[in-house]
Amino acid sequence: MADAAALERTLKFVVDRRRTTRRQFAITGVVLLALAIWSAHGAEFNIPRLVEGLPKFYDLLGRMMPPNTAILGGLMGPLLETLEMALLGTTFPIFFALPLAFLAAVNVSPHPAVSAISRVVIGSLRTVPELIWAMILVTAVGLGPFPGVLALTLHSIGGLGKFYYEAIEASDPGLIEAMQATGASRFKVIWFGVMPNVIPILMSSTLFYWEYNNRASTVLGLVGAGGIGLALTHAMADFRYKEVITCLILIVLVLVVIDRISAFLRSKII
Amino acid sequence: MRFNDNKKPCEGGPLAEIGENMVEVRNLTKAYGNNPPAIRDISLTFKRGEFVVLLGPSGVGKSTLLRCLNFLVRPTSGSVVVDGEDLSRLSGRELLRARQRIGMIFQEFNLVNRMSVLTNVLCGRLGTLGFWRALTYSFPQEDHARAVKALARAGLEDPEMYMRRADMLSGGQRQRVAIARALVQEPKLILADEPIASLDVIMRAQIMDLVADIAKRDGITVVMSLHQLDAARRYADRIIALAGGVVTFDGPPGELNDEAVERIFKKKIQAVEEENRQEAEKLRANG
Repeated sequence: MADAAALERTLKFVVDRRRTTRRQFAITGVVLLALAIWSAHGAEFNIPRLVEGLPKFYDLLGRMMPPNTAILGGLMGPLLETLEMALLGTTFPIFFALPLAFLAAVNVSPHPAVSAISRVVIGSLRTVPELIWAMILVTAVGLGPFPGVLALTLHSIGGLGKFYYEAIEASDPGLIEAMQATGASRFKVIWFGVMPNVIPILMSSTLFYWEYNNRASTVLGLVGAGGIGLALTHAMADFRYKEVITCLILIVLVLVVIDRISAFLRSKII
Repeated sequence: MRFNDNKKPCEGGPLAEIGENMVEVRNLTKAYGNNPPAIRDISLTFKRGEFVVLLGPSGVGKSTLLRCLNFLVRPTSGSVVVDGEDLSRLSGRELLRARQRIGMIFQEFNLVNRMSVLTNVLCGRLGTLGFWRALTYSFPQEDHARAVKALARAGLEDPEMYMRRADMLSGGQRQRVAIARALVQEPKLILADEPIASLDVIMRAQIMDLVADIAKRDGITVVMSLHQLDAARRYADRIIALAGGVVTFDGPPGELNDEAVERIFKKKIQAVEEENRQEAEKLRANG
């Protein structure tokens, strides 16, 4: 069957198909490039303007030097507040995200409708950035770290919920079947057939969110939700640049340490 | 490239004679870290077109020996000469060139699931592909011709299938794709690591038939690790049994009588029993 002529035909077929695929790739590339150019135009992307701005940037850097170390002692309180916000804003949502995730994961959900509704809840919580949540909550419950914690919690329920249900959905269906075959209830199936295997993934995504929330909580001060971000905002508003740089250096150092701790903990889990 | 000859590639060429030496293994030893060596002072010679089966239960050093033949595993001492080239004397670049002439197939096929069947086979040409062509995934026309021919030789002739993703195929078909990937390298030697262990009985026979035919008609030396005694007896020109890292049997299947089989597999059983005994004693000692 596969004589020389047949091979020739096959080769032609194969090469033609290759060309079609390549053409499609090329068209996609051109379209993406056009979109990028159009966006650059709309967003006033302007390299000369950036170059012109550079001296002002250097000037600002100059006014920031040397950092004002006298305020370090006073920053410890707000810094601690930021870290506490992040810790609470990561652990508190676990209690909501985990049940929601088990309702949302299609392989263990009691009903497709429940799964769909849970996904909408998780999705909408996640879609609203924590900064927006904080603005709304500051209006509702007043200034300070409390609205910050609530903002992180709401956003993290959405974020953790999505991580959790994706981990649950990726778990081995054979184990679920085996547990069901023993006559176990839905809860027992989840607790024995799913949890042991997904726990490392859940912990590692929670750690990821802890890192994320530490970064996010430093920004929340911008809208009055407490922490070192608030100190930063005040310093910026009063043009006390030597204090601004102190805050920034402190924030970066702490975040680096936290990322290290998180990476260490994650390596212990897996 | 044109397909001038009228012979049917799916049927291979005429019977090739088992000929000159293709692989020479001399005093080969491999130890991982400070553990006792996985293979110890092994010397063997494989001829052109010979179908050699490395037989034995798992953990006797078959995989290690196999991977020493293309230097995926670097031996601790000893040498491997493939087609007149001593692999241990080659520079990094020369070793890559030598590997182009050594195909390999695996138990789990090791295809890139998200690439098409055709691209998977074209990977067999990576050794000759230039950097810019590799970057843009564009293989030359001649390579496409080679791939089409290799796929037909491996028994896959439906061009529609070539465009499908590799994970859309059945296990037997995937192993055929992997064989085509090895064939497209135009190898002188094919290494096969338990190639039928993940397949059902019927596909096992088909794949063994195909590999045996490739050895016989294309004159490609095949070295295959295997733990199925019946398949080894039926297809191999020569069986080499390993136990504890040394060769315990080397000869044609006809000489592999019950007494020899018992020796091959029993040594392993004794070793396992000894290990279990020591383990149990250790547990007792620890209370």
